Amino acid sequence: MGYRFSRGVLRKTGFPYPQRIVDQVAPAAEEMAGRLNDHNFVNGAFPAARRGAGMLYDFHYATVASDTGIHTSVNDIPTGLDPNAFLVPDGGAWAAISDLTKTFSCGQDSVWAIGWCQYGLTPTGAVVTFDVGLSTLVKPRVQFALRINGVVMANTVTGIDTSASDEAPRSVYPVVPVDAATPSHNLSTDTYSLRGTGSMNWHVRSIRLQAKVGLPQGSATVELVVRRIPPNDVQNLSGEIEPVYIYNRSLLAIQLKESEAGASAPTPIPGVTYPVDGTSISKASLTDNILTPLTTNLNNLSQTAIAQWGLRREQIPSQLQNIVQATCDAGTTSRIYPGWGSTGTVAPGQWGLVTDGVNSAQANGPWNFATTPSFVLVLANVAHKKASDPGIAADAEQYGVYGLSGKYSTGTYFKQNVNEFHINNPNITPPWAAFPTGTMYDCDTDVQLMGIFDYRTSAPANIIDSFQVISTYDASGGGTCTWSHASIQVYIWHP
Amino acid sequence: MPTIKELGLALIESDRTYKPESLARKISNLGYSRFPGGTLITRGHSSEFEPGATFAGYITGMGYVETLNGANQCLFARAGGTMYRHEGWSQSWVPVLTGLTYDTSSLFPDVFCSVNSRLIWCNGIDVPRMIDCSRSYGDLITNAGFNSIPSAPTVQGVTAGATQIYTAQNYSGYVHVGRIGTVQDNGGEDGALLAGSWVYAVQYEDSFGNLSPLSPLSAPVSIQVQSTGYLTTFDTHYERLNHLDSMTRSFFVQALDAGETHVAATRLYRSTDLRNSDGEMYMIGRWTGREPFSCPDHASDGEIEGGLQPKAIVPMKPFRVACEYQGRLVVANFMGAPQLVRFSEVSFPGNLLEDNWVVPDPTGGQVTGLASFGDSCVILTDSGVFTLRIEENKASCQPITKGCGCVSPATVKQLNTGGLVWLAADGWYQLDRNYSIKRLSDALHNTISLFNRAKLSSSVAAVDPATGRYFCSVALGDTPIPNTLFVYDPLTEGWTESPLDGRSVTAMVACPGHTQTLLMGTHKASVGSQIRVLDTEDTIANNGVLCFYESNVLSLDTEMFTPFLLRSLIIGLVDSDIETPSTLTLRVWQGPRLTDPYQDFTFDGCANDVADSWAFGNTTVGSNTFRNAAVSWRKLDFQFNNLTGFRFAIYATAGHDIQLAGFKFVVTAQQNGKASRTPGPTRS
Repeated sequence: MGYRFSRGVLRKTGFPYPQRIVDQVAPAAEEMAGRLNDHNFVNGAFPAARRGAGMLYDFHYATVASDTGIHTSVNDIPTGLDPNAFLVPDGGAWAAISDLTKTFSCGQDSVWAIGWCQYGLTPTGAVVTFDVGLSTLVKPRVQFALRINGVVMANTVTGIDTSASDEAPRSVYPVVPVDAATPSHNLSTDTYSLRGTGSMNWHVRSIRLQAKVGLPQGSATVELVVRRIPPNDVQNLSGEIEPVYIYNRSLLAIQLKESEAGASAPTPIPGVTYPVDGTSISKASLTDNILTPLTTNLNNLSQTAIAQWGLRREQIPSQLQNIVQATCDAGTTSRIYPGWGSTGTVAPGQWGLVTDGVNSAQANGPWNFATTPSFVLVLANVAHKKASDPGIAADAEQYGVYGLSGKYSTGTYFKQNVNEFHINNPNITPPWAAFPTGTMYDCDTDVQLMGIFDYRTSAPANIIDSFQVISTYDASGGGTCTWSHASIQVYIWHP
Repeated sequence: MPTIKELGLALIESDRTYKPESLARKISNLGYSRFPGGTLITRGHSSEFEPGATFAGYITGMGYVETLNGANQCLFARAGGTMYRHEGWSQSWVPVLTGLTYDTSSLFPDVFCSVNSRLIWCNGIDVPRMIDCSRSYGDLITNAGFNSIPSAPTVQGVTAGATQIYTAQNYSGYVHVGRIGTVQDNGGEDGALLAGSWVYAVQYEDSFGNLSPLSPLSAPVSIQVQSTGYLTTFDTHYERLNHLDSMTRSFFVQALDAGETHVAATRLYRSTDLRNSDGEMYMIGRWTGREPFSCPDHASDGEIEGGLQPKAIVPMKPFRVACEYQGRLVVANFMGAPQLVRFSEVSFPGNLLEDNWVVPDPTGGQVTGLASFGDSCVILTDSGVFTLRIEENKASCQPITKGCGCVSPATVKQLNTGGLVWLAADGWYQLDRNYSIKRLSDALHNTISLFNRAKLSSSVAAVDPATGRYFCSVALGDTPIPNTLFVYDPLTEGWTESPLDGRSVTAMVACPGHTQTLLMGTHKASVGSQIRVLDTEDTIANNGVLCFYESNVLSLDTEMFTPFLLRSLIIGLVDSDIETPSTLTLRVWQGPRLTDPYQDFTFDGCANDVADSWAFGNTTVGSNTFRNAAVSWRKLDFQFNNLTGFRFAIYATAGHDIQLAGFKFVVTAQQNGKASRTPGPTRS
């Protein structure tokens, strides 16, 4: 219940003694001094309003770029283990991917946490190997989850739910190395796989998890956690069990401030100069002393003008300023991967747009983030079909590579290494001595991408016309990377 | 000649200035100005709280709770058969409960009572509701406590068999070895399991920890005597098998009644052995959620003894009167038991313990009011005043007076100055901090005689947080709903009456905290039911409305025995009406009654000597000088001889403001028609 009531209106015939003026003005001025609450704002007034120096939504994120080491050029030459790769520890206990952990303080807020990573086995040799030829015993499996305030969010644990939704946690995510004795490429019979991760040479995948939870007042910690699960929860027991690494990874916690913890000093009463006895008044003086200060304050309300606990979820629906999305159907590209840390542009021979020829996985702006500082989250999924080279019938060392990029109004593309993603073809009989030729099966695996572009304090080089999913093929020339459909969503928060 | 009691009792002393409110009898379109304090200024009565919001049916109650240091302001109103929640962010009232009983002949207005950040509501007919206002504007509305009794659980166990059987009979196939049973020597027989019986009961819990009444006890489940010895007629096989440890049993309990929709958990209790112990009940388990459940029970008496025992709770039946006292909910006047008062446990407003009750009035008077006051809870009945004190769940009730009751629970309000005020059939009474009672409203006696006594119970009142005035609306004449607002200012001890622009006021609520607002649920045939903010205005529509001030009867002494000469009336006016000083009219009745002869005088309003017009908004603001309001005095001289009482009124021409600051009187007592002294006499 805000003030909307004046004790009396000022009339043309009324005499302007000070108390009459104060009676009209003081309630509004006092309300602005830390007394505002939901009742003072219209429904939906806070899609992404600015509060204080920040925003209504606070963003806590960390990204770590780490190459899977597959290629640095169009050669089948792994570079070895990236120094930023995170080793999933032994023992089967949940372990935080520590360089992603975010700790922040909150009131009784909601948090939308999104974790994303690329995981896979180790490149171990100069020539090829990701430990090709491991025994049947060695099938390391991993699970991921989000852990918030020390509590593993049960609904994010992978390997529990078999929902087909791309965002939903999946069943066990096996990282299954070669089974030399009985190579399996049959999706339905591989007990360790959910989506076709049978016999394979090496394996890289992505996972994206999310949870929206209410948090108690105090310090909050959001973590992306991972564990190995039995029977192979310990690596390298006999030198044969495969270590699992986390490569490119991001964690974003979007804090929806439902209410303010109230640590900050209360807003002073707006600088209204109340009339006192003997003050000369005029239209100008009333404007200068009362209307202008009130107006200025109304136009520049800080979060401290809102009463502690004065805003709640029902007043702040999780609306964003903008969501732009696009989808496309099946397509293919035969561009050639220029290598990790490459120029990062969509260029002929390097990267191609994920498109079906008519529609593209490209969300179009334009957005001028220089004039509208914003926080941008890009989520994309690509149903990767396969990466294959007809000339190399059974080469498991063929990778699809996907990435997120933006395109400036100048036509130049830009991309972050952390948004690059590699996927190999698991369903192929491996080409070694016992199987000099193999059969290529479709991979049909979701590639999940996540990009964070923080333009709140620093603007991009130019107006951004679009964000898009890009793709290329990583192997010898002549091959293609194929997808069956793709989608992209761009979330933009700004005041 | 009016009797003493019909008189306004302001004594006229020429050396004293009276604030207008202290002498007022009736005011129209005058509001209470905070500056200078005690003055009355031209003003509309009220403005709409949410412009355009009207309700179907009368507004029968309003409740307001502030939590989270005032950030969470929860406002509810009931109109017709619907409860509404105020949502300021959408400038609307949103229905949150429908299907409530709407009975315009209902005895009392709705009860809204706040206890521990919760609003308890009841209309005396429907199931009482509890609105959780601890957060989010009262999202959660449940039944307050439980008004139904859970069904008894059913139990399966050993049921048959003669004494000395060696293998207990199954019941429905279920008899398992457990630990239930009293083991003792039976007569001369070593190692026997005594015959015993056990009963079960359940009790619901809501999400606030309030408990339901205990269910009826289950049918007893029994164990017959069993022995480790054997009779020669039995196969020795049994002897070998029957060991003490294998004779104690377990039972199987089923509770199939999930209960009212707000059940959050069910507690299961079991007695100890009814035959061989005291048979006390103890909790053996608690099932969260609202689900039927079944479970085996094999805990021995010794294992459950010392556990939580059930509380004897009575159902929360609809009540008509309530208040909070010491963190407890005190409720009274139930259907079929209008004389009964019950009180809850501290912090658990739904837990009305069976033994926590009093009947304050030994003669069975209906409870018509409850209020926390001082260190006690004041209970008002239709014919008496009592205090209730509670120490360690033990209540003691003391009478204060008989013969002075309360007619409407919604009029019982505590003043900022400390007194407790309520409406009785013959006027308003105040209980002060020393528990002495006085009648406040003698000055209104003429008006009180016009009360519609059949409808006094629908009167409502509230204390304005901003000014501390007590507002009470009462049905006057043949109107069935409260249509006249009486206002008592505890500082000047003056009453004013306001006709409210033809509106009835059927509900009131004070919104303390920083908003300092008094809300009224009003009804007017032409606009319907609205919620309005008192003593404010949102338009200048009333600029054209005539405002007037009418005094009480004024006399020299309380008995009106002393005749006097009224020489002059001096009227204090605050600067006003700068543009066109208005002509005001003073009417003086030369007697105590409005039918007595009167004479009209005109005098100038008070105008500042600045000619330019101004306004705040879209009109021109010229150049002017602020000044604190100064009081200008207008002296009107006349010679009214041999008055024993008089009254006067001031009318402002429509379109002009007045602000009344005070009155002085020049009077001279007369003996045999001659003035005895000047100025008037002191009070004798």
